Amino acid sequence: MNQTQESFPALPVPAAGLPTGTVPEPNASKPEKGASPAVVPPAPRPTPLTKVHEFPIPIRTFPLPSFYPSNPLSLIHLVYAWITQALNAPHEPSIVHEGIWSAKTRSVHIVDAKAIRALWEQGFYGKGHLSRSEPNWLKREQARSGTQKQHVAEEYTRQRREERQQMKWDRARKEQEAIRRVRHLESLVAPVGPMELLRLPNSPSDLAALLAPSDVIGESLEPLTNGQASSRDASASTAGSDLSLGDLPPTIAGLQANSSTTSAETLVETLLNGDRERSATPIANAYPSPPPDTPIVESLAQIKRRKSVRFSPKVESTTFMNSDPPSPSLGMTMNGHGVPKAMDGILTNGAIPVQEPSILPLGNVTSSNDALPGTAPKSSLSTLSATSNEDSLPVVDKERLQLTREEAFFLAFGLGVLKIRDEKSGELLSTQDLFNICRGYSYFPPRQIDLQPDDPFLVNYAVYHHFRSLGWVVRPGIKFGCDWLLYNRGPAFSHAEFAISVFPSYTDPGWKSQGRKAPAHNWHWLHSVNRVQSTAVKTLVLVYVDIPLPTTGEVDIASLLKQYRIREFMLKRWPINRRRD
Amino acid sequence: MAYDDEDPTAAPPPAIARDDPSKVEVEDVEDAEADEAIPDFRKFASSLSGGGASSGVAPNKKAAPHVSGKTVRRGEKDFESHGTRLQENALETSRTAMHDVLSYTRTRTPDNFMTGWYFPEHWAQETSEGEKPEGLWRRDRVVVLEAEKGQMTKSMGRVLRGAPKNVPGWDKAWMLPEEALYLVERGDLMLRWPRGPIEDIFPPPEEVDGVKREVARGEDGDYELGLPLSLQAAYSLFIGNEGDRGKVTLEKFQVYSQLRRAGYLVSRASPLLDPPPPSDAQTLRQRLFSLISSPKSDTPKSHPPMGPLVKPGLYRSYGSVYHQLSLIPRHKPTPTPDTLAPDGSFTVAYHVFKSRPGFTKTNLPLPDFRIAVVNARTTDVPDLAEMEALLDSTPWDPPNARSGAGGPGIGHMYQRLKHGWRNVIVAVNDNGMVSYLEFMESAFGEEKLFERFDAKPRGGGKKSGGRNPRGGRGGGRGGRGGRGGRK
Repeated sequence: MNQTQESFPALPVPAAGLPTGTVPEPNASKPEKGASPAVVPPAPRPTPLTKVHEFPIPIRTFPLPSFYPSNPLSLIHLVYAWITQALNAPHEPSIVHEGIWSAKTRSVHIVDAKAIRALWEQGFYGKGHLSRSEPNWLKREQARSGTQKQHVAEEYTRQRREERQQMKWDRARKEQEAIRRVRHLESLVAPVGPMELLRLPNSPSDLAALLAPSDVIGESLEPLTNGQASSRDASASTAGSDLSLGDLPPTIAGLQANSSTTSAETLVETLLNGDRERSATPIANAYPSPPPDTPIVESLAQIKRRKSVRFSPKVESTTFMNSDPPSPSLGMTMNGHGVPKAMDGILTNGAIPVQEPSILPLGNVTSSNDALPGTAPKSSLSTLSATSNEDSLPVVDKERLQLTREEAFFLAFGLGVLKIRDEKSGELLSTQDLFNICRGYSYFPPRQIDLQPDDPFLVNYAVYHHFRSLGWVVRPGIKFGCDWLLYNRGPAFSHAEFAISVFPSYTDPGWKSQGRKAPAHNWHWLHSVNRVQSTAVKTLVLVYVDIPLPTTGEVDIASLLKQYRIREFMLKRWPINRRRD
Repeated sequence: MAYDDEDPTAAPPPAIARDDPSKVEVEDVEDAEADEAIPDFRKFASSLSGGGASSGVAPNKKAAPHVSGKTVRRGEKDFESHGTRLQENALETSRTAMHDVLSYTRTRTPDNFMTGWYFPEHWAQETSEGEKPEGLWRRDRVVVLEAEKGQMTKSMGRVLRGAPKNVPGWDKAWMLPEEALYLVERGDLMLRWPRGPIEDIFPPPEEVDGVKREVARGEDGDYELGLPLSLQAAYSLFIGNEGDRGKVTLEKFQVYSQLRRAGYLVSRASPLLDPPPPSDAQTLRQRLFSLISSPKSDTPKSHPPMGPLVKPGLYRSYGSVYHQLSLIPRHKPTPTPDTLAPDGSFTVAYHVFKSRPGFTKTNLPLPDFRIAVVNARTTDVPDLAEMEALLDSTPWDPPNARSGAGGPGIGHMYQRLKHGWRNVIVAVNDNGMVSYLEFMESAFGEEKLFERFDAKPRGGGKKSGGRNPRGGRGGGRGGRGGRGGRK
């Protein structure tokens, strides 16, 4: 009933508050899923986020229409709604999804695509096992293979990172330019001091540099002489400029300053032999030649010195400029089409998909490439041909939703919208069985007996249930060094405001007589966690869970959970200089 | 130490005497990044030399009036040498400026210079009963001032009003060990070790007329009465273990002096100074109110033992769904907590006041902050019992409209939760490096987020709730060190 998202419409806004700088592509034409790419249907209106995530939990409510005394018709509307609901009483939760308890991964898996969407959209439960959080592997694949023009959060993140990298890189370049300018100006003054005289060419320092290993020479050249030399060389011998072009990674289009690119390409091919793989690949050649840049950049490109680093004679030898980014990844150096292939981890060369089943014991996780019989592992050079092969094959959604034990138990025990089968026997687990399994599997190795009231699962579940029952969207916070993150409405709408760190505590006199104490945390640990939260603009909340004594008799789940006591304490740095007013 | 602190401007160079802590310049804090900035001595040096003059000019004594109330400003960080003369010159200028600042000649005017006498046993026999009216820690007051001079005494030292008049020194200001030590360290107090009993220094008025004796003592007379003590001697006299009468622990003194130098006014905390909890009438009304509203209590009477907690059926609102989910008891803060046995390791040590014009030490206002001091190496993060005991010892301070948290919006709700119902600051002292952490007693159960699900017209208002109230991330700064993004 709640499945409004049959066709997985593209979200209008990427998840998790991306900056507005990352504008979606201007051509908004989005072909339908089954349609051939040639026919471009009118773009469907993207569903607004508030509509996609309309329900905070997988349970619908049916509020009665309000009655306005001034409008008698509203009474009729009210009565009509009441009668229809009374006759045809909606029984919520109308859909009970089904999950599989996987002992190997200690989590619950959802396979059905509708259930995956429902649990994600209505309360943000779980995580796609091929995705960062939202299960959108299929969309990513489709966007990657070009069958659908869709935008997925991962894509935006990648773009944003690229832009940020570029921004930092530009900033660093500007600083370098400024320094160079100053250096150049200073070099125009006659060298009079002893240090300056020493820095002149053919000085002892140059001799020392000559004696040093050859690849250090570039570094040890004194900037002063370098500046002078390059300014003298402004006439730019052709061989030198061509070499610098071939050495530049293609991303740095802004610096790839040479108007005579065509002649440069041929020169590059003749000059560079096979060990320069990157420049020799068709991808690099297909890269559109950059337009001629501004003269200042052009002259700078000629000023720049080269450093040659040879990692291994076989693998790769590359030459990069002093002003390059610290570690230009391969993904960065390719153009827009090549990047997702490198970044996704599901590369088209067969090597990685073969490994994946071993990582994820569920299997069935391969890219469509594996469907081709006898596809030998391809080298990265044949990426282009692999892509063309892929287009002909429909991508099958192999993604599952992984629920943590706390999430699965809350859905089953709290909301009753999930029933869970055992992976081996295929039988439905009762709530009590599920409870015991979750508790037992919070230890390593898993245990069946001797379950304690301070099981890690129980302590964490008490906190999870506490905040879920107040309406927060609770998600695991390991990436921020805490136990849980609290979102208002969900990660698609806003950043997490609070980071929860759970502290089990034993204040009961019975525990004290047993000598049971909570593990102590030192102040350094607390400060490091708090620092992480303040850099991520979150507030750290210390949540103490007071653990009851073990009960002797049989206690049902609800009564057991009622015995836990939860206290929250906020933590903030108190900067001594900011509070003085 | 002042230069690698998280907030380097906390401590101006010790050479600079500040007369009036209330005139301490408040620096404009722009953003969190400023934490990592370093002091720029060039600007400070130029302010020393009377302003307007170029940096590097040695400050002279005439500049003294300008020095008061100046702090070191933050400058730009330069990361690595890039071999330009411009950079070298800038570095050299900064070095010279710092040298000039540090070699500044201190001068002292006699009207600020005080003499104090160390009488550790004078009030030792006092019982704690005598403190009732004021809570003055009189048993710990071990230094008596001959005369109160200067700005510092406006917030330090107390004349013990309740003392009997026949006790010598009854009308003099007595100081706590941390106050005396701080003044000695600043150079405002000459501490002396008396040779004889206190009657030699402060003769009882009925024996001799005081004026005559005072005159007779004169300049050299001080040496006959007692010896001047060095700073080292003062440290050895005043620094002690927790619980020693007339002494202060090193951790507490370091926190005290850091707060004082940062411009706060600090007084030793006394439970007697705390206001009584809100009157019972109010709580009675609240209780009546809660009685009336008790049918709508948070937790339903019974739960299905094996779940699901939300019974299948027809629901008109999310409130009724979430009502059934409520299972684990939620904390409800109260103005009068169940008194727990106070735990020894975490107690409020100091009351801290923002400096304000009308401040008088005899009539202390309510403190702005309460600070507990712990040793970072010997204590751990407080457990639940310690945390509850510490926070319950602080007064009821619920979020209200005055603290900017009165509105209905989600940002206001965050503010209320963050403000908490009680708060305390823990100064974690790691061998002189002090980190201040503020703990707030919060109560998420007081803010039911799910009530918003029903109030909001669903599906409408496309961009109503999606905006982050804090607005973006830090003004679009790229972050040189590769700051982590937010999830």
